[in-house]
Amino acid sequence: MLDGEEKLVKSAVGGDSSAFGSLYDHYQPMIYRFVLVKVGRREDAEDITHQVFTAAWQNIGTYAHRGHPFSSWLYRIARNQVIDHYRAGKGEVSIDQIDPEAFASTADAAADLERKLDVEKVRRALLALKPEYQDVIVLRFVEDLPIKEVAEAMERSLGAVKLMQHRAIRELKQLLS
Amino acid sequence: MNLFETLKQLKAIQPDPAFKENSRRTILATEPAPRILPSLKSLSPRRLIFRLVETGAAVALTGFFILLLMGGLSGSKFAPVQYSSIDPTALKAEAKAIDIQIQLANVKYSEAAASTAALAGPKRPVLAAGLMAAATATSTEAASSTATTTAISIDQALQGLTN
Repeated sequence: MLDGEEKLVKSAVGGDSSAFGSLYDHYQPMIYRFVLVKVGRREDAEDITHQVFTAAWQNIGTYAHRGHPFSSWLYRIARNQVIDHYRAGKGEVSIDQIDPEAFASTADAAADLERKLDVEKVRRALLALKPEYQDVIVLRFVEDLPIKEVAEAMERSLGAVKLMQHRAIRELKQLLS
Repeated sequence: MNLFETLKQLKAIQPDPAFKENSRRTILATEPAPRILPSLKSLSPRRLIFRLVETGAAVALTGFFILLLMGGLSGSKFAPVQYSSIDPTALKAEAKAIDIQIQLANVKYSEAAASTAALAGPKRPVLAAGLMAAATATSTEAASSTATTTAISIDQALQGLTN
């Protein structure tokens, strides 16, 4: 959670664009990663991320702070945008069509070939998972969000998220083995 | 391969800085939607009408039940059940009539008991019956002016004792 987030959100809800800009700077990379893992193509991920923040800014007046981080709300919008993207038939992409350059920075950070191959394998396996399992894996193990926050973002109970996490890991391991 | 370590490496994914800047500028150049009744705005006309009817019905029902609880309908012709016997005037009249009937029955009983005791019983029981009858008659007389008194006088009681 961003320092002084509550104050920033309050100002943004009041129409302060610079406050929303600060929230955008902090959360945009997280939303972009979340979307990219789910759609696989950089262009699509950029379009959807842009739509997420446009929708958030347009509807900021309806946001009610209930003690949860602002990111939960953004993730919910992102999930809905990804669903709409697939419904519109734009998400029909085979694994071979996925842009390897989209994950180039990850590969650079990995620094060696073996790591690069591992990341590529995991990324492909993630794309083969059910959308809900993808969400849990990304939010829990890539973004390191606590279960409570993941539950809020996915509009599920804590128990349901724990169960999904268990099944998602099991399925991911099966796919990788 | 350590799965969780590998997943952590996905965090290194970053959006293109040029895209990030352009997107930010475009978004913030627009104005957010005004905050006028956001919840009503999101409703379709049919849903809005349904909500209004629902709220109106709830208020009307609450009012009706409060009225019922306060007995507001009991005296009107709109009362769901008409209790004519609860009419206070009729009740008073009925209560008076019952009272008189009980008093008359007591008087008749006392009269019969006293006369029987005087004719057939020994001296002391006769006196006792006579006194009892006298007492009953006195109390009956005090209770209602319409009751017929059969009080035995002191002379009659003394006569009963000497016999």
